Amino acid sequence: MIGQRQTVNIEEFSRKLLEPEKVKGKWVSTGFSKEIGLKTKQVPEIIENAVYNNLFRLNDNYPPAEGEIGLIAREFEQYAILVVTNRLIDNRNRPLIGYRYFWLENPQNTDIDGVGTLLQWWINQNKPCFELKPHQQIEETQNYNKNQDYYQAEIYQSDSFNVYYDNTVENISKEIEKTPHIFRITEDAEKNKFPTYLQVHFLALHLQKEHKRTIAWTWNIGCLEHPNQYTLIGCENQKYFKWNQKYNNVTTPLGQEISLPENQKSVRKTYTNTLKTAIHRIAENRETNKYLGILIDELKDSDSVRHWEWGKLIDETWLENPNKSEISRYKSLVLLLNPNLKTDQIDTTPVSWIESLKPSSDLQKKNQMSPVNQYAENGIKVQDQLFKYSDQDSKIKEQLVPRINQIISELLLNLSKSQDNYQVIEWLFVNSSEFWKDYLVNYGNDLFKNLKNYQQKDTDKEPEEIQDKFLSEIMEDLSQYSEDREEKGQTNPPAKQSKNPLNNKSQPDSQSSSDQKETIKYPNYQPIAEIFEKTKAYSLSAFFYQLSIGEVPSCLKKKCTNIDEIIRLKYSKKDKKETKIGQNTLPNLKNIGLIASGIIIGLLIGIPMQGLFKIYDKILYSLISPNQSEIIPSTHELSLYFYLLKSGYLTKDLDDLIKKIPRSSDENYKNETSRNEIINNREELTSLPLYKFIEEFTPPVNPEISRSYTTDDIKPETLLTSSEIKQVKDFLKGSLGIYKGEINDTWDQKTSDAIKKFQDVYKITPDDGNLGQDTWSIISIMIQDRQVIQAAQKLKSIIEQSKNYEEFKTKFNKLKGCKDIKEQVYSDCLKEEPKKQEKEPQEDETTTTDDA
Amino acid sequence: MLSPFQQKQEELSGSTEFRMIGPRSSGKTAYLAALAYRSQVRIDSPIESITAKNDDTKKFIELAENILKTGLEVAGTYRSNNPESLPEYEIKIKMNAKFNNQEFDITCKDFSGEIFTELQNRNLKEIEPYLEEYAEASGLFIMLEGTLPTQEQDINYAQGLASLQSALSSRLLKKNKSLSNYPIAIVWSKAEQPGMWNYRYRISKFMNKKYYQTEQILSRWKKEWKCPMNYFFCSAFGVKYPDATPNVKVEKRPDRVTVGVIDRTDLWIPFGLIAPIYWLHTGKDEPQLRDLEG
Repeated sequence: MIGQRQTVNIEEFSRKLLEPEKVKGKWVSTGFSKEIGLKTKQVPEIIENAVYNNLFRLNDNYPPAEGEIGLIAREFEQYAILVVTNRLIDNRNRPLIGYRYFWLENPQNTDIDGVGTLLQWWINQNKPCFELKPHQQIEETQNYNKNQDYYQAEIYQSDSFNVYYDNTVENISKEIEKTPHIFRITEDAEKNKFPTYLQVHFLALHLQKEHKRTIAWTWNIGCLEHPNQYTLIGCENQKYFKWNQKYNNVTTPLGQEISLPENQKSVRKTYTNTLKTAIHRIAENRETNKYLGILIDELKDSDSVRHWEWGKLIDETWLENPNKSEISRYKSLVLLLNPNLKTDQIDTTPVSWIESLKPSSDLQKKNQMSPVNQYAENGIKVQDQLFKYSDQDSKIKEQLVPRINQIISELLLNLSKSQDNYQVIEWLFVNSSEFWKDYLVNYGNDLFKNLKNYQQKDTDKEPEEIQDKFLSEIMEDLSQYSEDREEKGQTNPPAKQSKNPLNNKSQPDSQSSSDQKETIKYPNYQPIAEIFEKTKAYSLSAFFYQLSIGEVPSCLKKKCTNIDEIIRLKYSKKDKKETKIGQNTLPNLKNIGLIASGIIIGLLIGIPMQGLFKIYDKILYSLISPNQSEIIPSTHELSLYFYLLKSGYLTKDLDDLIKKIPRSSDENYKNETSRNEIINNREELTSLPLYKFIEEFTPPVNPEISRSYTTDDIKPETLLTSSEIKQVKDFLKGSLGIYKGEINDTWDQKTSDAIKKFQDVYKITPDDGNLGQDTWSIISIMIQDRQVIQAAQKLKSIIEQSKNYEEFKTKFNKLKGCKDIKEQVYSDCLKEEPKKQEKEPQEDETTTTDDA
Repeated sequence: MLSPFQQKQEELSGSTEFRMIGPRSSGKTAYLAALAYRSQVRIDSPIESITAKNDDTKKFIELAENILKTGLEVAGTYRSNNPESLPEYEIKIKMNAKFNNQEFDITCKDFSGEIFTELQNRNLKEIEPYLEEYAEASGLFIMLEGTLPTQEQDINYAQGLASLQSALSSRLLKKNKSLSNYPIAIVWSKAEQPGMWNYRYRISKFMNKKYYQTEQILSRWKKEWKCPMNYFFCSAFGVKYPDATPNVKVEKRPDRVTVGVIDRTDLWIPFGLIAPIYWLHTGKDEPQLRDLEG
């Protein structure tokens, strides 16, 4: 306690309930009004937001026991707050919690213990808590108290609380290994001693002094909404102890600086719940634009890494069941928002993310031409959307660019240490998106500038002080390079032990003697040189070639002019030899014929199919994968067949595709807003390579008609073709069951009636039975999707039922042939089996049934 | 066959995102608790399983367990300054083979009953963010308690609903949303109570006889909007199997009057919980779901 009496003013506010009523002589609540009310002074914004962000919220179902109080105390910048909670009931006999908040602002230039001061004042005033009374009475009491110096508090400093140190405190402090530290406040004094709130505050001061933890503690409380916002959590009993432990998913060991130091001070305008929902919805591709908008708004105002409450944003339950596409989108999005995030549930650090893009199994790796799995592009699409916002708004750019640079830096660093991820990283920067390519080049240019500055000694920073780990690594290498050159009078840098054992093996003599002039210097940078070359950043590429192989391929000389030389570039006389770093030998199309012949011969001589697979296992690779951008030519059916047959997983992809396609019976089609959303997001579906592949062998559906098509247009020549009329009729009949007539090419009253029904069901106006562009644009999509579903189902059944390639080929050709058959509708054609078929497929396996 | 098919499941597309509204203590939270807690259902139930899809729902189920097993009183839902901060419950409902193993997701927010009071008093400004939430949703779940059919309660309901219709109408139109595409489920709670149980298959008669003003307002609403509107009875506490007596016992607590708690958790059969959300999602009214759910 300080010698001279100094005071500070205390203010208060309460949870405001509606005017109470008396039941059997006792005041009870009649309902909730506002979370902040009955205040003696305007509440500072930071405290107000903390209340609205539920930082003090306890679940109303778990109030303190009758007659007891619970305390919550914390500091926010210059403010300290003490929250006193107690049990109330409402006029429906339901429990609720009364909150009375006392707060103070630390006087400037004084070192006071704000929470301690509040605590001592509260004790001196006989521990006031929330009382259910008419509002007028409460206001009168407050006014009276103001005139009586009731709110004047004597100032305390942190050392005042040393007197509360005893064995109990010592024992608890020994137990604290991480924060929040959760413990019980139980009246079990016989066996264990539990701390008083004064002792808890002493412990909090200790943690603040020794471990830089914020003063944020609770005493005798139930279930906190945000336990991770506290340092010490004293729970009323074992049940609440378990609850708070269970729902606190962010802990920080004492030796470690708290991961979100500003989180406790800063208040965001968007609620954690909203951000959490936004991230999941974007991952699920539900109302993506709306939810991206929410993220963007928040990004403009707060640093997503430091301010967002990632412990709460990660939804463990949601992460248990997302599909692969959703998880890809999720990780790709979170990576850009927080590239440092690594928890027990999810790791979105750059290297982990890049590894998640790889095909998931060895079999897939072998069978796919693409170095990434089929879900990678979904993730990139989400990132592209965020990048577009970044391009339009400088604040977003400010937020995202440092994160993107961090990601690039970590990926290049990873590449300089190991080539395991070369193909995926190359795909990311070269093929995935223009944005990544541009960001890489921008990063490279900055890197180059920094290196130049470093070379010209324009920076005081030592390499190890630089945050960009990749830059720091190069600087270290260059520093070594320069020193050695000066010492030995060499014109080239000395050989350095490669960080990649493979490279060391391939260049065994590269460092055997210092007088060897033409040596590979830092071969670990060669993959980076190649990637920069592929992104046409030739200067950077030249630099890394020089650094890695000791010379620059002559072809680059023509491409890059005015190169700032950080190290002297030496051009080779020949063009560089093509190297395929980290690349598996992909199937050579020429081999396919050999393989096919081999298999056929094998079959002829009686080698079982499985044996043949083993024989060819190492050389047979797929020619189609779901994320392959080009459709395979029909001549490669054999490899397609083997791929499908052997892996089996494409049938899963067919299943996935079939599931993804919206059905005409989908309720969302019947609502204009959600229908427009389906149509607007349609490109995502139709651009799927597998969709495109299947669509190729379905009859074309023209998305536009030139004018309205009415019942008067019997056999029109100019609008729909005969087969298109059949398509429409077949769809209305087979899929929706609203056309009752024959499937022919005559546009009659029954067709018009069916169109009217369609317009009624799908709320299309005018519902006059005429086929205008509005109606056609919906029907044509449904017809096309239906055909793709039918074809995909058919293909799946063909794969499963074919005993050998010949049978597959026959059936597959028949399937493709259905596209051009004019005399019958597509669905009927699919139902027919080739004449040579030995065994008719079972009805339930011929999955050409309709989607409805 | 190299790649055997899995059993076909009919996955109903999309997700229904509805919002709840109803007077204080009408049983909104208890309804959700009973719904979410039904992870272990009887073998003859049309529901195969109900699973939580996010942490908030899991947390809520834990609370539901306490409510339904130990008779803990459900606290009122607090009135947040902004409904965005309130938890959103997401559950996956899987029906049994009789319903083609249909699966569907619902997303729902439970709002404080005081919102309805503000509607009754026409304090729309006070609840603007909530009205926005209602207008954003794909459907509305209105819960009313039918155990105290007084004229005053009838008028209060009618006033609140009339106010809600007018407030929503302008907001939906502003968002270019069609009024006729906005389904509204009117769910009468606490159907296990004697005054209601006998009317469980005659809801129109119940409303006509006991909540005439409310019925009139709702009929007018439906007519004006041409929207799907349907009426349901439900009971979170349900009845006891097999004799269908109310599964509620009245307990006296030391410091207050009486509370209604679930009587026999082992015999608990809720009534009509799924029917309204199934209807909101599919537009189909399934008589089987309007009954005891097992």
